[in-house]
Amino acid sequence: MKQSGGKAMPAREDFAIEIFGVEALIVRLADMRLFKVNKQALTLFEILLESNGDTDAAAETANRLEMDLDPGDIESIQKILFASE
Amino acid sequence: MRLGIRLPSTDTLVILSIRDNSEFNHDSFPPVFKPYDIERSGPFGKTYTIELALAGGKSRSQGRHLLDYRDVVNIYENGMQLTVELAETASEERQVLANMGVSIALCHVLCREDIFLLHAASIARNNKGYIFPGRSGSGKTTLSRLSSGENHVLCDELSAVMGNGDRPEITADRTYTVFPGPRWAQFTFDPDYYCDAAWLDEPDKAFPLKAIIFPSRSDLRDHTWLQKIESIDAAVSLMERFIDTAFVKALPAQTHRKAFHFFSQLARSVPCYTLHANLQTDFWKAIDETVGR
Repeated sequence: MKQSGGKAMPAREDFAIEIFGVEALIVRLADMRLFKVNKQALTLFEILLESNGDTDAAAETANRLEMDLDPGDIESIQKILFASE
Repeated sequence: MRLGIRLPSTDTLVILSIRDNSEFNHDSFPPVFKPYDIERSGPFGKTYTIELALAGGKSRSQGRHLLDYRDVVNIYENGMQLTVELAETASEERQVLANMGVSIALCHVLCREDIFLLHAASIARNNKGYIFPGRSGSGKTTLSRLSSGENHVLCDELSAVMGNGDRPEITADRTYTVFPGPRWAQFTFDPDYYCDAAWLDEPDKAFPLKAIIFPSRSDLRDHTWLQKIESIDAAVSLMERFIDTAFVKALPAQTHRKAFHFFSQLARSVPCYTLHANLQTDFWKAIDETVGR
């Protein structure tokens, strides 16, 4: 499992999500940090949570779903999970 | 000593109770009391109590521990009672810490009642409420002062928004109401916030919310106009102005979740604008033309 700086993997309930059309807002409840993302990034966020932060597993799932990922997409979503307070 | 705040449009009373303690009878705390007549205003469906107490060594309070701030302020929740406990060692800033702690506890009580505070001015015009969220220096006070006369300035600094979804006595088209944010400063300090003198006679009244307008002032512009804001961007800005109030980040994650969903829904339901204002112009004319009277 690849995690950022050895930090503990957050859980789904550590976040809240609201959908606004083709975009979504994610809030990290511990520090109220807000992240505005598009639908694809939201899907990737959910995949990364499901895979417990394992970027290889997340990339595999994304490929299986035929998601059109740009280089660095997964890393940018990881920042939402592990962004320092 | 017991002081109370009645929450507008509800049958809820919040009482501040100061535990009898010689430390709190010191001349410097609190400097001014403006007690609300609790007995005359009842009966109330719900009564919350926020108790302010001095901790004697180890904590004596019961209930869920909500906040531990720098080891000098502790807040506990036990049903309808919250206890704000100050450490005995916190003598130097006791007044500031007491107000901070009580403000956080009050904010928590309001969230439980689906009432959320915003760093915002609020103005009533034609019996409709408008809120102007903005950080310090954004023009809230200037805009408020220029709005008095034909409007009621509810408050230029702190406003409260309430959802009416589960309150059948309020008609369906009034989805949200706005009123001045209740502050303990009203009771413990001479308020230095600006509001119309006439408004002070009926502080319990709430107004249906018509629009949310984020001020962006500049005297360099030659006119004033409003620009519609996407709901998602308005939600972000509203959350930021919620976070401005009373150490909100210290509240439990459950409260953060509730506030996040509340402001997201608010941003979808109520039209949101940026007011590109030259305050030398008649900005209410621009508001009326865009939002409607």
